[in-house]
Amino acid sequence: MRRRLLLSLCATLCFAGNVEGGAIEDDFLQSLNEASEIATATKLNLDKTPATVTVLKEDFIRQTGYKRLIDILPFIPGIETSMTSSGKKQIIVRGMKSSYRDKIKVLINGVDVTNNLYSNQFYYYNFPLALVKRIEFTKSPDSILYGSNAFLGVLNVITRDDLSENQLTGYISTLNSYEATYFQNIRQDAYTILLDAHYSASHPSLKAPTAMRIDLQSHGAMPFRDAREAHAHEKNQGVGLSVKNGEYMFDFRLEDYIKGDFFGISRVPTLKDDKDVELRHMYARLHYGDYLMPSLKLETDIGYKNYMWNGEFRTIPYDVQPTNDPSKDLIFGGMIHEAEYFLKSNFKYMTETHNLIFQIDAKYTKPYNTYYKQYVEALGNTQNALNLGPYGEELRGTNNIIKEGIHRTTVAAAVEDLVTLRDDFSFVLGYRFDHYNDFGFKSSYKAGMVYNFSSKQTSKLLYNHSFRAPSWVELYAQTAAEFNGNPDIDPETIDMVELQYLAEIFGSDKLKLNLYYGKNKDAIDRYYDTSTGKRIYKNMGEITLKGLELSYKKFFEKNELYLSWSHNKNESTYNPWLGNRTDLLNGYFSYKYKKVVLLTSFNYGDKIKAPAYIEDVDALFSLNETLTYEKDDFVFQAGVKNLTNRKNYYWIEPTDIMFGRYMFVPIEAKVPQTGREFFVSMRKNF
Amino acid sequence: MKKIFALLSFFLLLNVSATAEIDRNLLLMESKVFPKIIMLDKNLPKKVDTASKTITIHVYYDKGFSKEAEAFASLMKKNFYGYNVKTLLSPHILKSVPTAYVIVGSKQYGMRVFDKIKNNKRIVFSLYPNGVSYSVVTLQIGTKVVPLLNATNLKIVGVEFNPIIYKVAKFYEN
Repeated sequence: MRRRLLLSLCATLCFAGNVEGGAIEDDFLQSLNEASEIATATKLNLDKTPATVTVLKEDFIRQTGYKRLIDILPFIPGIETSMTSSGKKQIIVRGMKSSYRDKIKVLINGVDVTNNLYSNQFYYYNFPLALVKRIEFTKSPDSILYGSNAFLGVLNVITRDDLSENQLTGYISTLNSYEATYFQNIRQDAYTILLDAHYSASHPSLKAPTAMRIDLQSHGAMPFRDAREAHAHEKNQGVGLSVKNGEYMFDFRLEDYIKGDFFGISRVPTLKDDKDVELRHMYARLHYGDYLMPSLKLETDIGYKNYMWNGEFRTIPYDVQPTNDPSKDLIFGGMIHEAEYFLKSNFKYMTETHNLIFQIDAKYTKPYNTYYKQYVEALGNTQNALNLGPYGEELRGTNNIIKEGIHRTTVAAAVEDLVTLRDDFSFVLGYRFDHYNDFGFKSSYKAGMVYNFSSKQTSKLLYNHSFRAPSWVELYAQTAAEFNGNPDIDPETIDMVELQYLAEIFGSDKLKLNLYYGKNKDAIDRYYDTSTGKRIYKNMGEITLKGLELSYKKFFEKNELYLSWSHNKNESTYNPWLGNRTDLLNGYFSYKYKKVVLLTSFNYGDKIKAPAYIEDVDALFSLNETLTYEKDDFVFQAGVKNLTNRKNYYWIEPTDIMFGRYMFVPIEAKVPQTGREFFVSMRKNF
Repeated sequence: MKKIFALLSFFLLLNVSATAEIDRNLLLMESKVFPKIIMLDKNLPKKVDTASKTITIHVYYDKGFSKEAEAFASLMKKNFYGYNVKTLLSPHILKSVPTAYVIVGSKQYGMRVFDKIKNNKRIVFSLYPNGVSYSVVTLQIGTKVVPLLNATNLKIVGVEFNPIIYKVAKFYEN
């Protein structure tokens, strides 16, 4: 600041051309570094950097008319979206489907919103696209600058910023879905304030399929509960605030998500829809960033995060016998809060040939105010192994949902250098070590290179080694009925090699091909321990990822045609049914005529292979049409998703073994997606 | 289904005029770097209004590029190094000679404009990196962002820069 004041004074005194040459030269070099930072941060130089990143820009996001973050992700090659029977949305990266966590890192404006409890973040999957400026999805493991959980990739959501206009939006659809968002950009000479707020709710009419009970003793399966209306209720609300003043920025975000139990957490649709789960995530961050020298920049983030899980689930009847009496339901629930304090500093040294980043990262995280609930209304005051706390008593101590007195302290240091040897050749090297109080040291490393055959052809070769720290639930859960942690499990690791080829053909059309091969070692999953009768987390084995992604974008003057295809052939040493679609095909054609944009898009996924005794889940297909009309500051949209009203389904695997002999699963191991949906939305810029 | 494809085919057959979209982040980079390059003009004192301490930038835009021109102007600082900065937007060439020019538009438009202003001995920027053929300076975006100088056009306009720019810039030959 002082340097800038001196510079201004000097400039004024030296008016008419006698400005100190040195100061101007320094400022000029610094402005180039600032521009390089913008190019890197906004992925403008994507073809020149060693990373596999897909960027969805605001124009396209808006043209789709899609409302929620998760809806638009299938346009990224290799990304499939799914859902569990309890309605928890899932992002499947390169065919890797995991029941409880997506093993990706989700960042909102660079802030990690993944919790430590489950290491998931699905409460942000419904984040409104109306507030999003850009989505960046890095499909490579990338722990060097992001740490644990950047395992299958990093999803960075950039919200509207100080270059964005004020806006008010509204959305309503035929599936009982509506949304309102608000964004305001207050720019003053000294500071900028950004404010946003959103509210959305949906309650589509969905049929929960008949639930089947598989008896492992008799080797038979019988209908356990008839098909019935699903409790597919969701509600999202949130606010964001960002204040920028010179080198300082403060931002705050609160996201609250409430959902019903959809098709039943135990794959058995509930008789009574009186239970919801609420998840709330909040962060507050103070950011400082300034150039100490024209080639050296310091960035520091210090902040606080808070996460809450609160709710109850109806599961199966306590006697595992078919009934229509909801008072016999075994009800699980509880409350968990976690608090996290974090500090992260980046020193960026930028010269003509080097982009060197040195990072230090420290976190302290602790759960608090936690308790567990497990009860059966029909059992009244009788306390037993099932009616552990009659009438929803809050259970603590050895009956708490998670071991008490735990915390997690993480300290990490990382260095990454992008070296530009020639205009057509650059390479990156990176190393990071993390220390966790739970399990000690863990290393991550990467190497990559970019070679430009010509101004229109680029190839990239990348290698990454990353890890995922077990969540608290995986380590310390101690619920009697549902799941149990294992403090002896190790972090799982992944090694991935990728080869990418990018080319501009037929003028400016873009072709992109990725080939990848990776190994997920010590994969953490849950298994049924027959000796203890408990379901316990364990390092189960190895998953091999291999596949390709191909995309092509053609420009017709104002219009665009995009097609992508991805194929994966993953294998697991411990689970033959990975529950994903191996071939995905997506595309769109956007047509602009004067003030009207018409976007036709489709998503296709092939069958999900199921065990021999169950039919495969049918191929998925959805054809969508959106019309956008823009006049001055007003935008009107109308459209339809799944125009052909095709019946699409999600794969649902059977539950773990319950009571030593039963498993539950929806008939045909699938649950329905919503059908055709007409929508209208409006946006007013002001 | 047939109706949908028929509708699509109909739209494909229609012909529409072209305009490219420009990324606001690119404009942000240019608004940071271009003023610094203006300050590197060795003859800057002769090109400013000394009475009002004003640097004037003319932004010439082609039909259909007014939004880009306006967005760039809105990102430019209103003063730097003690100078006031005045940005004038116009699709047509103005009579007065400013401190520097910025062109945004099609190649034909850029060539036409450059041809008319090239003798004014001023820096001519292009907002499009591929507009280097009708300008003196634009930005080249790689792992690093650097100025891309058109050596031929630089000789034509006769602008003399502080040598620091030559240390980092890349050169383009017509």
